[in-house]
Amino acid sequence: MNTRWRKITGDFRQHRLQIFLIAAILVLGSAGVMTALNARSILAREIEKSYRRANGADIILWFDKVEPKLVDLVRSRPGVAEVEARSTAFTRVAGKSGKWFPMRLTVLPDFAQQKVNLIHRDATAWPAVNDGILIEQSGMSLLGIGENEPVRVRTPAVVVVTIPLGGFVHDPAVAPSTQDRMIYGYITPTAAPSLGQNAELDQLLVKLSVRGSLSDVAEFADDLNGWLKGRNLVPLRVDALNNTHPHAALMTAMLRVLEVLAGLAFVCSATLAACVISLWMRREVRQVGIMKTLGARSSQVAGQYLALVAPLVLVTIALAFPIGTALGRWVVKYHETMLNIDIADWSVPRSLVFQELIFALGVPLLAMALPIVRAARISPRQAIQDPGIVAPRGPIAFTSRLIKLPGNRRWSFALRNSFRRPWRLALTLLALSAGGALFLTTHNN
Amino acid sequence: MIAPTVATDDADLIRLEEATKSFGSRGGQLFPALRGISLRVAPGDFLAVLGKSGSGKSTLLNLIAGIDRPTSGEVRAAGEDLSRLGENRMALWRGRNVGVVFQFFQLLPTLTVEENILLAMDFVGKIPRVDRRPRARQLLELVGLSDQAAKLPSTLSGGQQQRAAIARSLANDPPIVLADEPTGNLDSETSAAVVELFHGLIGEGKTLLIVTHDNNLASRAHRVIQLRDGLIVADEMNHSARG
Repeated sequence: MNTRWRKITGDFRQHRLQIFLIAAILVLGSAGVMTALNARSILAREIEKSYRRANGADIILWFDKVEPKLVDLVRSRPGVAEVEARSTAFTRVAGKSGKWFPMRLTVLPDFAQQKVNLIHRDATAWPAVNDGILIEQSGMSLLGIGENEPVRVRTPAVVVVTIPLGGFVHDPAVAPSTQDRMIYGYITPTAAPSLGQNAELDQLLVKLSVRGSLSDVAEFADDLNGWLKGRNLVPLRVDALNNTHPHAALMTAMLRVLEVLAGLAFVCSATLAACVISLWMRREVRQVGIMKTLGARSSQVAGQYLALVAPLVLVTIALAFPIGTALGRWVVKYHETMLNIDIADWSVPRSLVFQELIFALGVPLLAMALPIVRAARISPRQAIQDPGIVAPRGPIAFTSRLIKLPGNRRWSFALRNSFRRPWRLALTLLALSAGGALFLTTHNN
Repeated sequence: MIAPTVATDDADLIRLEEATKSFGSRGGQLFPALRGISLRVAPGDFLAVLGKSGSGKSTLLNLIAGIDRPTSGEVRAAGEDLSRLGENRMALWRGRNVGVVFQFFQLLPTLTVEENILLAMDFVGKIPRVDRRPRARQLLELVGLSDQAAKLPSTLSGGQQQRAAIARSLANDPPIVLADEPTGNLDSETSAAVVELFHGLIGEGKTLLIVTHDNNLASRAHRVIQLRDGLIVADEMNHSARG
């Protein structure tokens, strides 16, 4: 092995604790930022895709009653892709424990022939007989009732009736029951009378061929309203819908905050690593002087120390990458339940992986290269005669004298040392604050 | 031992003309460490530099080694005007032409004794790669440390470390060897051995310039100069030593 590499490996052995500390800081910072970026990338894509699977309605028209010919008439209107009649009622449902929950009950013509606001069952067929109730899956834990068990529902006449639970469905267009404390039930007109509900449908859900912006949808809804009025079919109300997941905006904001905090934590971790390297280089300055006296050029000295930290950064990335990927998936899995969405694709775009690698490689290397290059460029006389820790100057010297703790002098000494490099202290506090904020953000969400 | 290879443009291997060196203090005042020193050293000379602490001895050594630059005046050594060299060219020049021995040995702690010598050769690249290890062993044999080659410096005594540092200073076969109080940290018996070693280098054609408080070492020098307050106050030939 080349002698310079022997020196590098010797330095590695001698400073293994500091190197381990740097590696740990970088692994945590890099894994944190990878977690946030991966989770945001997957969730941003899958929230959209999951909601699109529901083929959510763009317009809802409310009537006293929707006849099949009205459905056909609206479907014939240019620009309309799909139309389906439904009705909605609000009632209460009892869990196995006897606790009652509010329930939004949707009556739809046929589970197997849905057109808009699709609900689906994963890997199971629709019930052959439509005389039971289907419950949105996120309500399963609240109710504690299994498939084919009886469910108690309160009717509009304040009578409690029992109906078989036909199974659980996934409605990606609604927020999870666990969050909204609302159960979502689905029945066909066949089962509606058994719950005291009207079998007639009164809403018309319209899906447009080309959606455009919300104002475009509102304009189309106005036209449709006028067109129907001209045919003496006056809607009670017309709503142009946003057609986004109910928690999408909140989720985007939360993910952005997570991303910013992770980025901050990463930059701070790289800075902390640079601080550790800087401290290390302060102690190495005399050796730098010796090497320069022996004939080493600045590039050789810098190269020697960079050769020590560059593999370290590669190792930290090798460790941080699987950790970041696994934690990112965990965050996505957590939000999959929290948002009641389907994650069909867990992959992270290659371009993002590439950017993460460049970022995780470049930022720490650059941050650590600065103190190394600075130390390598020091003149041999300065290096050999380096006095070590020097007394602070200017305002820091003044404030240092003011710091005086009662009792043992070593406490004053320790505190004054902490304030000797105010920028380092500020960065350390910033890194710790960012880490704490990141933890609280993830914990509170 | 390989003979010095550097050609000089005149008879002096080292020449200082009116060299001054001042250091700035915190108050903005300049402290003159050397005040217009002129000095000529011929190849093969053994020069001892004496003087009290703060007289400018180490500064003089640093200027000749290219570790520091004069504030004014000229410093030429081994055929180069050192004020014209940039930092990197200076480092390469130093590695090829000057071997430096420090008071506190300054061996790199994570390398073995042999590796300390090899590293000096690796940095400079003057000695062909295949010759480096045999040369390192030859130098260790010269200083009587053949059996300590694979040991880390921390396991050696002070005298052994200083002998290893001398071997390292010769790694690239420099024509000039500079030593800053090389016996200052050694007991008298070990100092005597180191003095012998330095004296032996004269026979190898080296030019020695040693800053010392050690009278025994100074008495072996061909020429003794005294510094006081940044000036040469005495420059005497020691004919008995030369003889």
